[in-house]
Amino acid sequence: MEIELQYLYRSNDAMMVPAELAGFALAESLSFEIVDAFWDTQDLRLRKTGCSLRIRRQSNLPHPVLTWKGPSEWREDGARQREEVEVPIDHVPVDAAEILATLRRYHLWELLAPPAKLEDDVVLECIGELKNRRTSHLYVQGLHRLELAWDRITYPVGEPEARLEVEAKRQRAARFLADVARDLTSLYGKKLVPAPHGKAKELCRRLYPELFT
Amino acid sequence: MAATLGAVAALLVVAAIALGYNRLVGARNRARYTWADCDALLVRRAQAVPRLAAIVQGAFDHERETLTAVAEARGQVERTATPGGPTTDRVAAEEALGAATARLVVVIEGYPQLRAQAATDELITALREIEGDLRRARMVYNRTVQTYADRRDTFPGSLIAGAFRFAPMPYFAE
Repeated sequence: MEIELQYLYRSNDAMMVPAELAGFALAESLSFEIVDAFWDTQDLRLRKTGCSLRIRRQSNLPHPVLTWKGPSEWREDGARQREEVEVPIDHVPVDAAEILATLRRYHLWELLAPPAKLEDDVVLECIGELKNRRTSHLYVQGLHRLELAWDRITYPVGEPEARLEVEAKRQRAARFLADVARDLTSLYGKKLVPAPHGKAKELCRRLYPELFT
Repeated sequence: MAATLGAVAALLVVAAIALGYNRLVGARNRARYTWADCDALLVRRAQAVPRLAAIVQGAFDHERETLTAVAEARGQVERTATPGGPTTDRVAAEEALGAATARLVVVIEGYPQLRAQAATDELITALREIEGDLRRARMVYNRTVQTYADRRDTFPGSLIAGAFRFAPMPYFAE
């Protein structure tokens, strides 16, 4: 389960990292590059059912990660919650046959096919890639963990985007997200705007606007 | 009354043309932007191929046919390279270079003593990565070209495309 707050950062000011957040202390910081490739059907059936299929290459990881995310729902604290399954894979699939084989091998097919009503012989294709320079900051309070990430995202089309995400690393830490949201608002004020949707949808809106009108 | 109706109708026509024109421009721009991703990868491939060819040339002079095909394809790519969007000739040249490079890799793999060299292995791995990235970039590019073609070839976009000379964009096959 992924539970996170997502914001757009509307300022050219430096992206500050607070030493403390909702009573959590900053414990570790990392910086790395990410390339996310999203796969879907020709008519974006996964996207239309609110799901996404992503292969992430991260500069500080030796292997790519295949991720399926289910439809998200908004929580009262302003966070978004969705089912998420991540599987490390040995290489990035290059075509439809290979991605289908990979999904079946890791039993992800059973998860992603029913909601989008995908047939067994469906053709999945890469629908777009986004590049992201991320700084990730781990906050700790006892056994609870929160990850704050500053993303500088480059889409194939349109202006780059800066995003701030705070993810509860375990479900129990999610109860602190309302306090985190309050802290972030007081820290960044109007520079921070709640993101209306995630990065995958933003990519699709930019590349395939005809499917969103 | 008739004059007002005429003016409203004229305004509606102008608005429809402007809307159709902007949609065509948007679709063409998206195809051009996604081509830029392909282009960056094609440049990386073009830089890697001569290094691979040099390895074969140094070791096996009798693989001249494969090397000639690679050199000719590279020459064609250089001759057809133009700034801006892709041309049909450029895409055809890149497709030919892709095929020639694949044959070159097959040749190298036929000689275990070549493959055993770390530099060769690294080059082939890098080339495979570029080809993998290129396949995904090509899927995205071809999708955006298809959307552009749909807008350009169907009514009323075809009228606007004809009037404002929106040229077709080539698909990029493997």
